[in-house]
Amino acid sequence: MNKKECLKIMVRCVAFVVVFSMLFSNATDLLMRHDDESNEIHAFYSEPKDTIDVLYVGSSPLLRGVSPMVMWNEHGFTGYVRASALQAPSVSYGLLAESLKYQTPELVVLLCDNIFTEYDYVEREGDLRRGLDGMKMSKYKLDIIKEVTEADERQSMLSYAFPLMRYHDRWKEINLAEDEPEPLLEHSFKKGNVYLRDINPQEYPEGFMEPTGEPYTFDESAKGYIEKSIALCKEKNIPVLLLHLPKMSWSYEQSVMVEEFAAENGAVYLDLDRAEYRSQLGLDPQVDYYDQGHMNLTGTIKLSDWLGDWLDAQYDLPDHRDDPAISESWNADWAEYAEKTGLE
Amino acid sequence: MAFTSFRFIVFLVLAAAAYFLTPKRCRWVTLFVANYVFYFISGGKIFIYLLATTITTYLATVKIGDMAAKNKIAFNEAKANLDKEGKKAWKAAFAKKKRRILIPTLLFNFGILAVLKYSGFVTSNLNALFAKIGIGAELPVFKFLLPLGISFYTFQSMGYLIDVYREKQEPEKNFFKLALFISFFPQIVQGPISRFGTLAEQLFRANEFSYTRVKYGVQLMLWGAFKKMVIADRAAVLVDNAFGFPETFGGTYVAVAALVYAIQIYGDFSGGIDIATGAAQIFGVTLDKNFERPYLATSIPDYWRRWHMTLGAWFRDYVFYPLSLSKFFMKLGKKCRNILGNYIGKLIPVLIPQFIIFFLIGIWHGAEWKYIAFGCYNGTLIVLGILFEQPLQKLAKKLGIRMNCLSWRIFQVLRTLVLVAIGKIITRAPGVSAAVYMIRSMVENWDMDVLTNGGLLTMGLDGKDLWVLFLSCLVLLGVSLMQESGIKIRETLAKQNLYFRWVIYLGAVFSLILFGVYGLNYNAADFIYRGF
Repeated sequence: MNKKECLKIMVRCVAFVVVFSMLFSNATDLLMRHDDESNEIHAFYSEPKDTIDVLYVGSSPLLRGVSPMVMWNEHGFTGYVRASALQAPSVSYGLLAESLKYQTPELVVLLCDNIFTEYDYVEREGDLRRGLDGMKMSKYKLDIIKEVTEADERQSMLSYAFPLMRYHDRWKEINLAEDEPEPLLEHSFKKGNVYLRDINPQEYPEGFMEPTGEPYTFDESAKGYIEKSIALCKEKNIPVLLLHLPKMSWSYEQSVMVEEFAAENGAVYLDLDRAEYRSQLGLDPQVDYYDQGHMNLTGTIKLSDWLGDWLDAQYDLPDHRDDPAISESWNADWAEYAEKTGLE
Repeated sequence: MAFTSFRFIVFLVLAAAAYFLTPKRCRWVTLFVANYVFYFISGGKIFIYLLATTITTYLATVKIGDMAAKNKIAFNEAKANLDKEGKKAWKAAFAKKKRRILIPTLLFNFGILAVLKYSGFVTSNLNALFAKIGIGAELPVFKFLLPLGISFYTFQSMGYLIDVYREKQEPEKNFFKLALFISFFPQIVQGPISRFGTLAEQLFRANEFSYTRVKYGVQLMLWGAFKKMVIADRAAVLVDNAFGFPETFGGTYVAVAALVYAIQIYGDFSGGIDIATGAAQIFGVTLDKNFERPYLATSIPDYWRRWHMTLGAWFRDYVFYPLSLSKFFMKLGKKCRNILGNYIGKLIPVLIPQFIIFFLIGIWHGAEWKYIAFGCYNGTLIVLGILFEQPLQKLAKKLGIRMNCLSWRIFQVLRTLVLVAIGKIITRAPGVSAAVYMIRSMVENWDMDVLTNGGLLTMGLDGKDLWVLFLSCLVLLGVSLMQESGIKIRETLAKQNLYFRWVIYLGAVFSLILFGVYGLNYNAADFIYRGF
């Protein structure tokens, strides 16, 4: 084979790979499941470097219940929620570590309810995807994938690196005449808050948050990831708030255990199910809940309003409303958020 | 490491890169190392059996080779003093000496295979028999972990041993080269079963990198993966459902399941062989052909000439000929000619070994009664085919049936397909009685409405999957018909415009990615013949 032939073959190979990659990317955009969580987690990358003041990481109560836009409007500090339903502690840690590559927040808020639960990677594949599909490939994502695929050998690293390998059989659900390839969300006006509008009246269980003496134990793996998260933030001199959002399946004993855990690790603990905060929040179980563990939109607004006041008071967060570099984009997003939620 | 896995692709790329980057005189060493790495990471951690076969084959063949060389010299010196009878006696005595090496080696290696694969079957059946006749004894039933590719490498190495014994093949003096021949990674898992004479030289020489050859190899691998992942693994969903619940699906469903299983096992096995052949081609090695469009066969013997050709050829050369040409069968033939007449008498020494061969092929597939039944079924069909060949031809002539036209050929193909599909029911059903039940229900509960009233959708595949399966089978049929008429697909494709070729290549790759059955929504199906 002479040099010319060799070059011709190489050019053809490269061209073939380029065409293949374009088609592969298009097919991925067409067939990939676009969950709200994946979109919101992905849209985080559009936030300019070091412009997020408060970073929230954790499971669905955060996703549904905390609105950085409400806090922006009230106090002028920015925030982003990187949350997904039943988020694995390993995913939370990975998201936090990855986020700190892009942002240097004033405060990190971790939802820590999952510290008591052993995470089942086999049963929770769908939830894992919600947390991971929107995340860019990185060392942190690879670490999570490795842990998941070691725990469940049915799942492959390849399917996480190239989601088309997981969603390839969704051609059955696609209507080619109507559905078009759609990439993951590039920018979000919700800043990670996927609110729910339905009102489902709830009742607090009898004796809620009263001491019962029931024993609880931490899941060692989950605890380990939260400890790692706190250590990482400490290393970067970022204060950590361990947050518990209103949830009717919570107990006094759990609250005390997490409080002690936070103190041991040098973090602040805020439990919004404790009586003193419940009265301040003013949530109406008949109006503000989507279900026992999640706020609906009205609840989210009330909660975010109160939490914004509390965070601002506790951490002296900056007000960027007069900083055009940030406020221009955030005001535009607020306008859209307000219009969509009816807050205008 | 499944041939359709990403790990295999990575391994193949690395092995090929290492092979072509190695200095020419050491390339076979790289291939040897790649084989053992593949064997180890593919689950062949118990490679002591592979080593045992390699060592015993090496020692036996080298010993026989030495004996043959010495015997040649001695015979040349002595032959002037020997008459015809003396020469005959010399040869017989030497053959006896060689058999002292051959037979223990054969027994040892087939013994390993027999113990690992069949001892559980034998002891559990003996226990059942003891229980029935009231003997209290119970033999322990062992279930051994089968070494990867044991049936294939045992047959390949024992074929080589017999060739050396017959002095048709010079023994390989380099142990590592012999080990390379026995363990060549593309073929060790599910064949084809190669002969030393055709394979070894290709492995030992330093093959040059060839873009065209690599391209053809990759194309063949893609086609194999299409047959396995799009056709066979999709068909498996329906087949597993139908054969898993034989009482639920009767009549027409069984017929559909049998046909789909025939498609599945062909796609699975020939797909695997295509991947193996394509992978070998990348290294410049041409493997023996193992399939020649078996479902276009016009008779059962024709089918067996086209299906798993290397296994058939192995049994033909190493079992059938020695048996049918043995003194015993020669004598039997003579006796039968005297008693039963010339026509049948002549056939007996052929028919009995034929039946034995198919009995053995049945057993080769697995240690279960159903495989023995499958062997006997095929043996019976072959025997009947040979016995009635002439009378049927005469009958057809009398009835004025033209036998050299397309319609007759189509009839023959369909008839063979039906007989083959019945055989497939025997091997796929959970047991012999379930197979009999299914075949009976196919005759008794025939209902054509099932094909149009949505009944097919209850068999495990939804409408869209059934369409994909149907269209893929049409592609397979189209390709098969083109090949049958002598068109060389890859060479023909290479002559087309670049744009057309790329549409085909990209179409093939994306049909695999999109329509391939893999991932969490499906249970990954292992290659069926890997289990044999």
